[in-house]
Amino acid sequence: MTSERIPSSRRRRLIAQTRACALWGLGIFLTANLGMWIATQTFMPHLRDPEFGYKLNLLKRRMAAEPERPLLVLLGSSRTGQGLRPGVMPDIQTPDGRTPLVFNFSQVGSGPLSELVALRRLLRAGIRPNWLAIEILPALLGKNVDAFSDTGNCISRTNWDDLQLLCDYLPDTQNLKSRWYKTQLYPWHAHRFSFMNHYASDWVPWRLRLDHWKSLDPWGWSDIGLDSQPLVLVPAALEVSRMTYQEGLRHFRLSSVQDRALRDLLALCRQENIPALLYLMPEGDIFRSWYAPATSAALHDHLSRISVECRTPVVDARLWMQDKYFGDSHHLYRKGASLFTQRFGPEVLSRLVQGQTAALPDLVAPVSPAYPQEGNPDSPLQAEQSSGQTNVPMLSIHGEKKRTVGER
Amino acid sequence: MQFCTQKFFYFFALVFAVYWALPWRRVRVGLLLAASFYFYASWNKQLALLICVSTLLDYLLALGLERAVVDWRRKFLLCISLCANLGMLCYFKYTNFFLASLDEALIAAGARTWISTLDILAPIGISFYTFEAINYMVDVYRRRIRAERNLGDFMLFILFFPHLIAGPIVRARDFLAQIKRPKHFSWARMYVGISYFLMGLVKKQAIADRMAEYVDPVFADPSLYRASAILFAALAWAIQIYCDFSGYTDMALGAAHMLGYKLSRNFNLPYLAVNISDFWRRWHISLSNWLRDYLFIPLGGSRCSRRRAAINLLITMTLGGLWHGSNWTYVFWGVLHGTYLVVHRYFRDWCKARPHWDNALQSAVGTVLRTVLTFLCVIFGWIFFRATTFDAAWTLLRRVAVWSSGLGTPIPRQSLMSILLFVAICHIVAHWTPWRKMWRLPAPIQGFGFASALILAQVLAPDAGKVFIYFQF
Repeated sequence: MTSERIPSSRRRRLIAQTRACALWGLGIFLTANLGMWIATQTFMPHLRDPEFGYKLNLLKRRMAAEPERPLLVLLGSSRTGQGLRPGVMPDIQTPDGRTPLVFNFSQVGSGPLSELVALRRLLRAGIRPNWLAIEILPALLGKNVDAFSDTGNCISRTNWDDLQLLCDYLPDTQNLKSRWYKTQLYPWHAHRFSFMNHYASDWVPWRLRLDHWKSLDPWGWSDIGLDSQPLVLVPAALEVSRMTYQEGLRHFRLSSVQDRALRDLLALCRQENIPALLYLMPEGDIFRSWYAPATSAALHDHLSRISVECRTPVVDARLWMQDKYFGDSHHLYRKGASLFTQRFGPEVLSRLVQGQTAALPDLVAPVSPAYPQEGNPDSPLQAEQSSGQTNVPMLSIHGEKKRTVGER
Repeated sequence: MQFCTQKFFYFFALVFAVYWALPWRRVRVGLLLAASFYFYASWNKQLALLICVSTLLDYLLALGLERAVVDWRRKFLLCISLCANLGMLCYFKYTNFFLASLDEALIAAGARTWISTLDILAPIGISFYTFEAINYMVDVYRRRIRAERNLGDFMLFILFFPHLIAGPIVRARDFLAQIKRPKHFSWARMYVGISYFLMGLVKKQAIADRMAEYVDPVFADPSLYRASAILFAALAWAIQIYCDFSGYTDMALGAAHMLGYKLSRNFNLPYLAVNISDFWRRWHISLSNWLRDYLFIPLGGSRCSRRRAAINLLITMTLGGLWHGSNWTYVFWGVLHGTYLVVHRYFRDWCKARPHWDNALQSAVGTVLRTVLTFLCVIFGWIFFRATTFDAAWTLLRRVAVWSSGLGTPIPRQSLMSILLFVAICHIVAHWTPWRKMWRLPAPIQGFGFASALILAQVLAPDAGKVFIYFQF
């Protein structure tokens, strides 16, 4: 780089050339970033928020294929994502005889705040469900931050509207906004794992794999590819669950953020005239043993209050499935998902679409067996029906305690 | 503050803008000194002060050394400097190593010991700046350079942030002259600086850190993995350490260029070396040169008997191994390379006496064979360099030797294969195509290359920034 020694004409050319290179580089880099930003904010939402983006695209395709069917959307966490399989659900019908399109729009780690964000996004995308079934993940009711609104890891998943919404709920809005602006400055860096998972998932280490929603079934159910296995085969999975949830269930304190988000979510449903119900997904014996009595009581009180104040039924299905159907005592295997769906659909969702939601909390009947009988896996209810047992849903607003007609 | 972080980007952008906005050389030196101090203090403020104190001591001793006319006094002052510099290096870097080794030796001998290690935090980059200070003092002693009168300039020579943490080890006679030279903003330098920096960024983020995904789990517990996974891990480690260290050096060179300084080249396609001696002329060149000039030659170099030259080589390489880290595996790695060099010398002399052998080895096929053999020898050495214990290294080698079964590579091999291919192509292109030809490409194509490199580095960046491997040395 001894520019002093070269002739001035060549030196001028050299300067012009190097300056042009640098400016071209800068220009192309800025354009590429702007392009990526526009793509993630508009027509490629799966690069910004892969799970939401894939499900949204899938739902749009389903709705375009069957425009006449009313829409029932399931919002929830990974428990719902893996545990409710609309594809095997017996047909349920509206009072006017139509069969709704049931779509599983759950997202991993979703609590009420994430569910509120998801519903708002759906409405913004022009999708207004006719009914909503919203999962309550008890452990997340005690946390200010659920997976979706985690400012550390997931802020890049949000767009401007989401950010405005989150700022209304989360305490450290300055930090939240600052992180969000940073991710907007470097969209290629911020969305690199989504990008890699989408286009070159083999390059991504296992711990960062986010491509399992590529294997969604047409109804949004996540197939984890495992059938029922004895729990002893998955001690590591159980340990992860224990580490994640046990402490929160031992020392539960209702988060004001999630409480407010849940109420606002139900208010939004009322405002949009979307009938909704809340439900708790099945849990295994081990998982349920982590609830402290005080936690169960607090949870029961809270859900009772929500149910009454928001006039929304709450269905507690935590006891519905046996341990053998879980991998980690709270996520259902494929077989468990089929069994649970085949019961949950007719017993709960059909009532929702038939407009009997107001009656749901009062529908207390003799306690049905906690666990479905295992017969033909494709038709688990057949065995019960053929034995003459009436399969009355256990619908209640309480947690562990089961009530009978006699008690009532 | 690592080179490939946003924090460094903002830091450098600010320093760069203010630096070129200032018209006065002295103020610019002051700015670089302040920036370098801040850069180091972002790790540890106390240790940043320690470097300043040791630099001040060397500055004063060098002035005294130059003024002294009596030989014993000059030697005495040099000894003080060497003892101070090497003493600090030994204390911070090797105290616990020697204590632990003594403890193990006593236990092995059946004695009961109560030796416990000390809680010592080693200053980052101490091995590098200590060697820089030594080369300055020895050069002043040998009257090859004059002692620097200006404290600010001397401190910048040691503390200049691009080379402070992991080299290249700069020579006082090269760098001090550059500080004094007037500097003008140059687009050509900017071009070179940006090219180097981006190349380093891609090497570090897109290659080295990606290779770590194949290396770290296997070296952490080799007994779980099958032979092929271990071989891939060893290969990936060879790529990782090269791209990590040369990536750092490229970024250092790039940053220095953008500020108007030229640091010495540290790598020259080392895996294309045709023999082990050639490898050391291409790998960590600044360290190799330092060891040659300040250790091997003072020991007698090769202008002595063959046996004595071999011993000198072994001593130099063993100490070179120890310089890398306080672990017996590094020492073994140094001894291994010393042995390679000795064997190579004997073999070279043997071939010279047999021209047909020499001709065969100099042919194209012979050159390829020599390159492959050298690469395999280097990889074998890298296994001991990376393994934390000899047990781990033996486990790796044993599992390969008996072709054990076990887990496959930690992540699918596609990215490893693609990157190996990419690295191989880059080596071939760099070997056959001079940079000047790249320079002649149209500006939009070069600009596209810059932007692509930056985006590639961003997209392939790991989830958590990994520290440069040579920072620990």
